[in-house]
Amino acid sequence: MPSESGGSIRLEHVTKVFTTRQGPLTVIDDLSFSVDAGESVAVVGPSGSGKTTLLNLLAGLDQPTSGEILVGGEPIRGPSPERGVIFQQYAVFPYLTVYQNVVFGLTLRANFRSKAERNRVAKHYIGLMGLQGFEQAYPKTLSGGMKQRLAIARAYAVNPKMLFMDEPFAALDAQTRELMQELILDILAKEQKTIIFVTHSVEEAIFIGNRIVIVTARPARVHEIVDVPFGFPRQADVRTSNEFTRIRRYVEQIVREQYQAARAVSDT
Amino acid sequence: MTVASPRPAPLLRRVLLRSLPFLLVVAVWQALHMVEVVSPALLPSPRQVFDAGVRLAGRGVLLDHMIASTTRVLLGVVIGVTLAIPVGFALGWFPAVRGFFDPLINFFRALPPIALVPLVVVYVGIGEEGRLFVLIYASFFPATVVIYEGITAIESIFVRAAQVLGANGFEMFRKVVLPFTVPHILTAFRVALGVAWATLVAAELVAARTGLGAMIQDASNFFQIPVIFLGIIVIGAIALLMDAVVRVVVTRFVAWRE
Repeated sequence: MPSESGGSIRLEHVTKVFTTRQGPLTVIDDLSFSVDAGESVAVVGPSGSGKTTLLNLLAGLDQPTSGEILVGGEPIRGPSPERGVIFQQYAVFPYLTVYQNVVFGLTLRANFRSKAERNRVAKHYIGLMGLQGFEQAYPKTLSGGMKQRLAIARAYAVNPKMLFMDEPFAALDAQTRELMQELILDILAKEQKTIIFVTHSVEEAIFIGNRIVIVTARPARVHEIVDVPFGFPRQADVRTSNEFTRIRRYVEQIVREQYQAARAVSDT
Repeated sequence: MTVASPRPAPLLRRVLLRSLPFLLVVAVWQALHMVEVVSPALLPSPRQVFDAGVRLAGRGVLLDHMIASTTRVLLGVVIGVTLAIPVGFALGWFPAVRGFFDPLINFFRALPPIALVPLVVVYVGIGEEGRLFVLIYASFFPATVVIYEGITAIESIFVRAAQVLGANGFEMFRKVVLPFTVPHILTAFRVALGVAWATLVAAELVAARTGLGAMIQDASNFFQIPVIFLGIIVIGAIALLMDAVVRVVVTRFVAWRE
């Protein structure tokens, strides 16, 4: 059976309608774009524009009302360890230690590994994420940044081809956020994945993305796709380049228009 | 060379601080006895109650009653909570099941177990099963509610996180739902213990010859008011002690909690 090899993603006319007490609510409307294997694509749009819904669809946690999401040419049928998710709220298991969290996926039948192999993988990602010395600690003793690094280690441990991130650093302070963004670039340079991440930070989108998909206010449609001209591996100092500032101004202008459009809609 | 540990002092202070409210109650009691607000025949002094305790303890009777009641309560709670675990899981995990049974559970939970005693005598009999039934009943419903509310409180994000890592239905139960529920099962145990001790006297209304509740009723028949006081105090003391033990177990078992 052809598994989700390749890691390319194609959204074809994806529409998601929720039934609410006020009637049907279209959250995503005819959204189409594609992501090549190994690419990193940022989805940027006003809050409430269905970005989290989009990630749930990509993860296979929810199904589109119409349209299709193809991964490696195959439609998504449900969640799969091939497609990892990093949540904004970390979602690390509070009752497991750092070590146990990292190997969680490897204790499941879907991607079971021997004890020795689990130890090896855990050591590797705990090292990459700078969590050495905290193996036996419970998440309650970790800072927000450390919890998110733990969540990244846990997602990487099952070796997914794709990684979806839902505002992964939104809950962190500015300094930690920048460090986390650099850490993500770092691990991507070492172990490439197809990335789709949702963010409201234009800077983050440019810093981590190959391309930026700007979506409209609800319902989410593709408004524009912007190419980011910086290649990988990317250094932290691109942030200060003139080109970075130019793209940032451009994207921010469009996003601002979308915010205003969203406000105009909600005012009426 | 050993350095004097600074620990014993705070511990001693804590014990003193904890017993202070009880000492206050005893002092008020003694005062009420002395000013004879109520006839001294009806309100014994702490001393008289203490003497009754020494007398009954000396003959080994008090210990027998304590053992009988404690065994009964523990058995009732263990059975009640054990039954509540699968029911709580079913109610917590399947919203349809919950929607259907929730009103029933709340109805039976609201019934005071003492009101059931006459029926229990008729249907279950006046043997040990009857008394046990009352205690199981008293434990089961609050324990069920604590467990199922604990399960409904599991945030869906953890379920989604486990799903995307590849967890199947059984693994979801075993590795996510169960660990999150352990603290709630322990809480259910604590709540059930409290309710069971509170129900003990009612349970021992079912023709019991031993047990602190039986002792209280006998004393009431023979107008031995100090023994009634003694029974009440001993019940409270054992309940308090057990609660403290469970609390220690809880902190040991769920060290991960914030």
